[in-house]
Formats: sequence, structure tokens, C-alpha cells
Amino acid sequence: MISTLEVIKAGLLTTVQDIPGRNGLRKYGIPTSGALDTHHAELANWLVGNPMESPLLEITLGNAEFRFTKGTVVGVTGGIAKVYVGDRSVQTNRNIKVEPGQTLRIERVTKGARMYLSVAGDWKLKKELGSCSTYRTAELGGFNGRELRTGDRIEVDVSGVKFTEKVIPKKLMPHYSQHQMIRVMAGPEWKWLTEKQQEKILELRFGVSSTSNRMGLRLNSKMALNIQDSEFSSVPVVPGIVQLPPGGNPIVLMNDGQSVGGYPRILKVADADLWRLGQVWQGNEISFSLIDRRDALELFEYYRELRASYLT
Amino acid sequence: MISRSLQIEQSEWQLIPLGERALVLEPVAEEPGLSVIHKICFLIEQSGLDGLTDVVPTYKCIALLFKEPITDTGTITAKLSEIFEHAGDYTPRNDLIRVPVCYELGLDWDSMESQTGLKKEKIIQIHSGTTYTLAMMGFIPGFLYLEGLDNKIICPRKNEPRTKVPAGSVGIGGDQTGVYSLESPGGWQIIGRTPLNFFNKDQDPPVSVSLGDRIRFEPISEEEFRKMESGGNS
Repeated sequence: MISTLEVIKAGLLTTVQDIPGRNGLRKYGIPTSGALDTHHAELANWLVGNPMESPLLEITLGNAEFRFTKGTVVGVTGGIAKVYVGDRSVQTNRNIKVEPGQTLRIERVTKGARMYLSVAGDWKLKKELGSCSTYRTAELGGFNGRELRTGDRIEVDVSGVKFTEKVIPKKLMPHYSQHQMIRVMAGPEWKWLTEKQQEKILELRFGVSSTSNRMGLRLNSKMALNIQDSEFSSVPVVPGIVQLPPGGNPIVLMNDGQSVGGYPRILKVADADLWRLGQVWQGNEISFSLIDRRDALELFEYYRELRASYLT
Repeated sequence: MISRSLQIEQSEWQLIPLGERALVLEPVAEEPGLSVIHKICFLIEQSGLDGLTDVVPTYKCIALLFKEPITDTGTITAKLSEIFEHAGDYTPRNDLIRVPVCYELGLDWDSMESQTGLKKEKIIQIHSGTTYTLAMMGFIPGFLYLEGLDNKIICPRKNEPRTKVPAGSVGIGGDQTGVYSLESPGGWQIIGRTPLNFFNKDQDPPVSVSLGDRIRFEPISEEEFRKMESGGNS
């Protein structure tokens, strides 16, 4: 049985994403894409009993409304926002039963930046180059390679979907604050900075620029952090790399970011913390806390085991 | 201390972590040249190394991306050493690809002329009179980085990058020339446009040229450009 998700209001930017996005294509310049906040995207799929790699919607800043033609089970998590099924206020971070013809309305996000909406069942979307993730620059994946708009319809096969109450454990819920401490390790060009500059970078609170997007999180440093070396050829980069362009305002590369880059790679955000950057927005501030690579690997394992122990 | 260096064709290379899941393979001393970089990429891709998802070449080094965090670089170093010890023959690519370019559709001729001190006609003559090598792709899907630009027409990138560079644009950025396969933001000096489309998501592989291919640009008129653009091309 097919339940069609109809877009009534799409909000600022709503795209289909999955985990882990596209792999094996970086040599062609094709980025990974996929959900920015992988932590909540995984939880959303867990809420509705879908496999972790199932497509779902990433809704930037909320302010979106959908209608389902048939009854289904959905999961809403990510940032903090009021959510309604029809006129009834419902709680996020737990699975929600939706009756045929009902609407799901997500109000504007008040904390965090992105909401994830999962729908139980099999999404009838064609994978492109191995993934359902939307990459708009190349009109790839998702719904016709673009963001969702009013009137778009996505079919989900909901045959056999049953509702059994599920709630995301408190231990797995982040605390959203205006200022976030992000753990990083030294990047290949970190040593190009003077000791003074290194100290400065670890002391500063960087503002999140309004020009940030799924390619990169642009940070304002309020001061110049110039690196001497203009003769730098393009080098490999990955999501989480912090570049320092000549102007001194760092850029953290995100999932739609490029595969090679021409700026010094001063830091790399620990994978254990990378998803948190999917929940920061203009007006937030972030600071960097330097850890070594071994700590980063341990943190990653720790969180992976923590999730596994709660999500049985 | 586990060794993270290895011998490839009489020169020493080292593996440097790039975050948790990637390693950069780079030469310890001398620069290897593109053909060596491409050969190494080919051999590593052929080897089916466990957990490897991506091999990404750049001018001077190669990134190896893995599915899982890398906890044991020593084992990977040993496996790579083995791959190169038993490496079979590799024939470098030698395809010559002719790329028609309408130089009349260039957007930055003023700054090209003032930066190089040469007239447009001379720049076109030099640019289209050289055979380039496809060094790498990146930045955006199917962006072709080409090696071999004549020193006389080197030109720095624009101070203010454009927010939109049209698909097919041919540009110069420092000592490189390249092709924007998709419309995107970009900071290179745009000297022309090709009607060819190198990126097609419905093809496997999605990019129709390969590392090491030789590229020559051939000047065409605006009329020819429009005809080829509307006529479809492969």
C-alpha cells in the first residue's frame, strides 16, 4: 500500500538525504552529500523501524507542512520545534501515528537548525550514483535532484507498517546552547601557523556566517588570521576539514563540499562532533578544542557503542 | 614505532592521516610527476584494498578514503608495499581529446590582456596550441584540472570569485587551465566556453574523460558553438 507524502509548505530548504550518501566518486569531484546531522538522521530512521540507510527529509529551520494520503508512522527529531498532526500538538523525538489525509506541520526551529522527518516504509525514489541523497549543484538524487517545493509528491510503500511506541532515550539527546565547543584535531597545515596564531584560534569564539550552507560552514573570526603562503596547490579535503583562506575567516567543509581544495587545512573536526555542526546557524558561536587523533578515534567508538547500547 | 613510509619505484613515500578515515600518500622528497601519481592510483584501485572507498589524486599527493576509522596505519602501509612490489604492467592513457572552445564567450579578456601583457589573439593562439594532460577532477563534479599551461599566459585568480560561472566555461587559474562542467561559483579567469558536456549522471562512469587523457582546445565561432550546443553532444 502506497502512502503519498504531499508537500504543502517546503520551508527554506528541504531535501531528501540518506546515510552514508555517495562514496567512491570523489575522484570525479562528486561529494558525499547525505544528512548533515547523521546522529539525528539515524535516530529518525530508528524511530520508525527503517534501515539506517533509508532516505528521509532534512528540513532546514523547520517551517514546513506535509500531508499523507494513507495512514503511516513518522519520526520527527533534530532541532527543537513545535509539531502538529492536524490540530493536535505532538511530541518530537518519538514515533507518531498519522491517519489517512492528516497533515504534519513543523513550526520554525527555535533551537538547533535542522529537523529530520522519517516515514516508515519503502521510499519509492530512484538512487542516483548509489544514493538517494540530494546534491543540487549536479541535480543529483533525491526528488528530481532538487529541493522540495509545494505540490511535490513522494510515494512511500507502507505495507506492513505497524505502530509500536518508541522514544529516543534522553541520554542520546544533545543539549543545544548558543555556544558550542567542537573537538578538532590538527590538520596537515596546522604547523604553518605561529604558536600565537594557534593559541588565538583555540581561544576565539567564531560566529557562524549567514553564507553557510551544505557545502561549508563559514565562520567569522573578527580578526585576520593570515597564513604566509600563496603558492599552495590543490590538495585533498574531506568533510570536517577546516580551511583557512587568505581573508582569515575559516570554512568548515561539510557534506556537499568539494573533494580538493586550495586553502591550508588547519584543523579537522572530529567525526564524533561533526554532526553537531548540522545544528548550528547564524547567531550561534563555536569554539575549537584541540584533541589528538587517538582521542578522536576513541570518542567515535564511545559514541557508536553508546548509541548501539540504547537503540536495541 | 610502526613504519609509515614505503618504497614506490625507487622513491620514498609516506602516509599521513587526514582525519579519522583518510590517509594522504605523498612523496617524502622529490615531486613525482603526474604519470607516477596516476599509476599509483590505478594500482591501488585495482588492488581491492579492504574498506577502501575512494582514491583521490591531486597534483602532488593521493588521498585514500576508508569506510571506517583507521586505527592501524601500519597494516595499510604493509599492504600498500605489497601491492607495489607485485605491481603488474601499467599502460598510461594516451587518448587525445579535442575540445572545441568558443573564445568569444570569454568573460575576462580585459584582465587576461592586462595581466599577461598579450593580445587576446595571441593568448588564444598559445592556449589552443598546447596539449594538456588531465591531472585531476574535483571542486565540483567533472571540473577538469589540466596541466601544461604555457608560462606566458599564467594569470592569477579573480579577487572576487563569480557567484555563477556558466557550464562549459574554460578558465585559467594561476598556472592551471580547466573546464567547469557544471554551472557553479568560481574564481578562475574565464576565456571561453565549450559546448561539450563532460559530466553525465546517467553514465557509468559519470565523467567521459579519464586521468592522463591528453586534451587540445580548438577554437570555434559563436555560431558553431550555438549549433553544437543545441544539436546535443556526447
